[in-house]
Amino acid sequence: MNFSENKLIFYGLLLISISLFLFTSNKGSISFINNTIGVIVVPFEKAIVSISSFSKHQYDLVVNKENLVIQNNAYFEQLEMLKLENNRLKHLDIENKKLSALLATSQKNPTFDKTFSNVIGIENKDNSSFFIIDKGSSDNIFVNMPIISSGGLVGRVYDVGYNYSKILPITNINSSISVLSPRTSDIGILTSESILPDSRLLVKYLDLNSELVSGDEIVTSYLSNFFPENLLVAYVDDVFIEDDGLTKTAIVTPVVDFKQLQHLLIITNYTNKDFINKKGGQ
Amino acid sequence: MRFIYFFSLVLLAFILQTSIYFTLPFNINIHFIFIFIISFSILHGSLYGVIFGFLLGLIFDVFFNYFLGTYALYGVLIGYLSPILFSSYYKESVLPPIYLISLYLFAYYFIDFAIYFFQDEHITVKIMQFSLLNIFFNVLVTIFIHLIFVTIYNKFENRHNKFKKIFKRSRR
Repeated sequence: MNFSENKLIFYGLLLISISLFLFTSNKGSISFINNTIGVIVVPFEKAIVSISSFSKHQYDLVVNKENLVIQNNAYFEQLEMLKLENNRLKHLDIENKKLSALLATSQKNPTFDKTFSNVIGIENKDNSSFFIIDKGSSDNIFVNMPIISSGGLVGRVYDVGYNYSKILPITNINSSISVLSPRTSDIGILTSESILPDSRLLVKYLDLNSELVSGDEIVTSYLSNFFPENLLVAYVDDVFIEDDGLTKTAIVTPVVDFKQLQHLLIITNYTNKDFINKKGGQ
Repeated sequence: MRFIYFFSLVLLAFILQTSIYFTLPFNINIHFIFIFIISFSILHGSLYGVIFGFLLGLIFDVFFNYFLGTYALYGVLIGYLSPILFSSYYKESVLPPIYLISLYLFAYYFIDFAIYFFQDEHITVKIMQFSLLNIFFNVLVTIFIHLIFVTIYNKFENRHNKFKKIFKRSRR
């Protein structure tokens, strides 16, 4: 290999990467390159994830059998309790519908259409900045659709390829969403503290007179464009006054365990048409 | 054969980087992409190293970046610089990859450190501990992966030399 030829290729690729950086930064990503690489790489990722989950399943069957039986019994009891609770809530729902029809107000909690999907990759970086899932534009997924898992908010769809999508989780340092405490109706902004992996989630800009205490629920507020109201997000751990003495900040733990996130639900019928396929922060 | 080896390595590095996160304790991040580019470019020269780095960076850009190009740029630079910086060592030696991964990771974490240095002491100390722990574990994995790469490389080279001999004999 000639040395000059070697250098030529180096400078060529350097130029290509810098030009990619310059020309794709404003207009979003080039969908052709993204989709080609997605079509090649995503099947391998899916295969790896399915193999690993299968082997974990087999391992559990052999080694953790007793634990599984105990867990199963606990779940059974929980299911019975939830069935009772659900029956009660159904009656309440019917009553609520009748009363709100009488008052002629709109329903606050509409039912959502959901699509199931699996996480197939996480950026192995310090702030876990994006997740990849195995559903894309071929499954009618659009940008800014809200995503939930195990009763809590995960984030929203940031970018869609042909057979994959990127998710911006609430633990990302670039994500900030408007949240509310249903008990005290204080409104704040949920953000991540730093780029460290186990960094805390903070609810900033709370009112100085707010009476939040540890254990309070935090849900999405009515101010958000991307998220439906009253989705459970986190629980409060601690509240302190900022150094400037003007606002309060709450330390919260999210409901969803982001380290063992595998199965997600995408809400497909909520997103406003004004915000579909519009990138950008909130 | 060489092309299959090349592209399967690119895929393997990407899959290891993105799917092994679930299993590691202490929030350790093994930077498989850096390690693969360093080892590959030291053994196969900076030409292949640059192409390898560019492809791997581009795939990573597509899935995990806000726009294309930054990881591709890192890949090109690392693939070009790694064989040049410690060129006086043997290719099979484990020392150059160890120096290089420590150097790159130090640079990688120093940016975060510098950003938070004037803001928050608490986070700065955390970043220091975290980065040192990470560099240590990354060095361990680097040694392991480089040794595997060297054995594969030696097998390739032996086969290549045998082919050369056969061709020379037939020409005579």
